[in-house]
Amino acid sequence: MSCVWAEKISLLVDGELAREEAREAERHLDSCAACRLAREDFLFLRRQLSAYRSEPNPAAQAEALAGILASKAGAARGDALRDTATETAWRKKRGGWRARLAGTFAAPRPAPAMAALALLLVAAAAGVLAYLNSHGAPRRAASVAATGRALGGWRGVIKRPDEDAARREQGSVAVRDDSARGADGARVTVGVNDRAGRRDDAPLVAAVVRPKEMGVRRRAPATKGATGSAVGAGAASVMASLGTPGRRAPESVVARAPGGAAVSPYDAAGFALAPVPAAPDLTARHVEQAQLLLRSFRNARLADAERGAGGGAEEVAGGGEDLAYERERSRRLLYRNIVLRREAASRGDVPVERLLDRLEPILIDIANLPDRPQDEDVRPIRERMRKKNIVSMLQVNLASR
Amino acid sequence: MASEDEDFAMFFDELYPSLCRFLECLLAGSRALAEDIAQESFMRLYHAGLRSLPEGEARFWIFRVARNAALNELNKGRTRQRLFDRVVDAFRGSPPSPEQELEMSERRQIVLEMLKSLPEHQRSALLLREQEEMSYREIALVLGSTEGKIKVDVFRARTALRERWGKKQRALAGSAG
Repeated sequence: MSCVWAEKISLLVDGELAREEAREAERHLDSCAACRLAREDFLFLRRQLSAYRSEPNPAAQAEALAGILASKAGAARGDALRDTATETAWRKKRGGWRARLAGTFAAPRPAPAMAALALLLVAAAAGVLAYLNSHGAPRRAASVAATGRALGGWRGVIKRPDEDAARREQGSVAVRDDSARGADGARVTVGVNDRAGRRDDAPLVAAVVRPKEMGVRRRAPATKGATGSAVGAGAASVMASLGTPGRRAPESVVARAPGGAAVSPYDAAGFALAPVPAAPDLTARHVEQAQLLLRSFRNARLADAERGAGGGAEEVAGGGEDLAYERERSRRLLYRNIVLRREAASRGDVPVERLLDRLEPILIDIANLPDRPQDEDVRPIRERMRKKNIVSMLQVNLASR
Repeated sequence: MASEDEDFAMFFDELYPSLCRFLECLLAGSRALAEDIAQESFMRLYHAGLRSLPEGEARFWIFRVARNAALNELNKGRTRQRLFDRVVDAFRGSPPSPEQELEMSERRQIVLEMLKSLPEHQRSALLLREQEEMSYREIALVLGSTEGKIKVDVFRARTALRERWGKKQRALAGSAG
């Protein structure tokens, strides 16, 4: 049994009637069982449809977002890096080449360990230079430098200059000095393996080292420059000189450890390099905020957790924390984390990329907590944080900046 | 650039689940296809620029784009048959599952079957009304229609579902008894 008012009842349940019409429809409902039944059925259908749940997997959702954000940024950034490398390489060319290359070592390490690292760098640089020498042209060197890939069997970890402290902890070497860059200078891409033997393919820019700063002896009486650098007590130095385009055999130099002992001879070749973009401040702020969030989450008290743990704390009747702030904060940081991780990957900043990659699942878990999380919701996340030691990692990263 | 991406990411997070739900219901339960279309729609919005749309319009834009993409899928004969078969198979019996999951699964299947029986424009209008709580004006924006037509579509969809649901319940009661 239907009623001519049925369509108006449909509008009524949607709130689409004007005030007076709605009043009329309500009055009609009082006297029409068929329309009352229709309204009940419409509301029932509404409950069924709105109760339909389709919750995308959080990881898949994050992946979808990351894919979208990377679709425009990644391609553009990659092209820019390649162009920058080529431009930088040929900007260094001045009539005859007079370019110097060296690395500076940060040195607050005991002499033996630092010397060992220096030796490793020397060997790495030797490999680089030998490879480049065999291939000759600065153009080739520029393209090699731009990619920062393994050369002639040598593989090294290359890191960003401002990660000196963090990488020292891992046994790698910090090399950077922008101040010497100029008409007489060029920068070289080198790298070393870290203590765990991990390879980092991201290009590192070593500083142009000023001449006569260390006990470097040039073997060949070449006319083109050789350089040396002192980086501090306990540090060795590595030097090379850049040859002139067209010269087949640039001079060789000898690296010396403190005290004057020769470390390793190697031949130099001309090459020019690409700079590595400095780490954005946004990453530092993000890391700081993530650390604060995780601390807050780790220390938050849940009413049920207190009761369940039997830790002796008084029950917080209707109190405790629902982690709504942490959840919302985590959601915001997650979006930024995805963007920054992608940016780090694009510029070859592997350590930052790895850190953000470890952080991301934690942010996802916190962002997806229910409205009133229970201990069983929170405990696994805290446990994962503890196992990953994520808060300490964030702290170390901040301290190294 | 990070700020614009942040805005987009927040918009994505807010709407992606509900857009997937709308598409899944529109596509008779095809979650994978729903997620694909949802991601493609957001991709288009990202490249067009979220900020290029008037404030408040982005939500309607994304539903419109996604719905049109879903229509293209529905209009493909092969897909239609596949969806029909899936629904039929679903009612032939579900694999064993925990009691709660079974109850939810059955309810989902019934909802999907009911929706599938509606013409697409009625289905879309009803879903946007009941799941997304859009007004008739907003639904008209999304579907490229008029408020008057949306009123009619929603009413007819409800009437049709009401009738089918009643038949379904009677059939189930009869088979149980």
